Amino acid sequence: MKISKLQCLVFMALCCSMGIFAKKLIAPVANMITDFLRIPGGIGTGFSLMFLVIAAVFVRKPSAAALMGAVQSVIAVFLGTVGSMGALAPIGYIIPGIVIDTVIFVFGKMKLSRTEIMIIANSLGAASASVTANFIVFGLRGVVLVLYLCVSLLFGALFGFLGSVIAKRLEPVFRKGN
Amino acid sequence: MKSKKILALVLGLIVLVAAVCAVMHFSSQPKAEDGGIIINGESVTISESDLIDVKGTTVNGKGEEKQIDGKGVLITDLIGKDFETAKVTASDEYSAEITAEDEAYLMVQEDGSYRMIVFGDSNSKRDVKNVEKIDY
Repeated sequence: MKISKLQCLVFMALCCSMGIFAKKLIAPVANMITDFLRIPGGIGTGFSLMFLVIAAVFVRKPSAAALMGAVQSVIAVFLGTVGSMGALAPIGYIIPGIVIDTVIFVFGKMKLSRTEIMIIANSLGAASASVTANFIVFGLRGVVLVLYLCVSLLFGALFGFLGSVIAKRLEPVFRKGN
Repeated sequence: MKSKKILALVLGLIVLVAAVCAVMHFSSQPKAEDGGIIINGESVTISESDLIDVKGTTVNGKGEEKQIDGKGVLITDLIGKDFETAKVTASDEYSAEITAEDEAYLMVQEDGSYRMIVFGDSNSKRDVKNVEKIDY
């Protein structure tokens, strides 16, 4: 699929913004689940990263997700929505982007379907975000850390699948644009 | 087809691990009595007489000020001042550390839960909701 550079940038910018605000959109439901499980998060990030994964699979540039993560971190810093991570928030945005790029690159060479790649990319991206948040903020250990990471992986996979459904719907739009 | 099976197997394994961890996590949580919290593994009840009027201003990470006006208890009144750092943990395992010099209060919320606020901080990182335990 070939799309123009301008289309790429506009789509990436749109996904960056959607990624940031989507997290707030599902926060009430995500908090209900994490409160029940007694863990400090791990769901909203998977939904937020879904938009980065969608953009990355369409744009197909080696560092698309990392770049979007960097842009998201700049937006978050300027909006003051860095949360508990404070000044270290950019790390929390960029690392999942690098993981997503790496997964798409590595698994893309293994002849997996787009759905599978998106599930793995979103799942590992969400887990890497959780590891980063744990390292910077939470400092969880033992069973609760494993539970936190499992929830991140599972919801990351679920939103990765949702992302693949959205990507399927978007494909004709991109084709029409060429 | 094979890769789909492997992916499903891995996800199934993660579900299983999550379920086992959830059960272990729930069973390892000490339960506080109503209106109380766990201090060093023991349930401590905070009575009405322990509560004082707390007024002040906190600042969040955006620099926005918030007026605090309610009932609460100074944490050092609960646990004394004979500690270097105390770890205050919420029901979701979010935690923050305080020192004996910090002006940290447990504020009673509308639902009866406790929220730690620390006056003098330049952000709300130590704003811990649903405080369940303090260890020092």
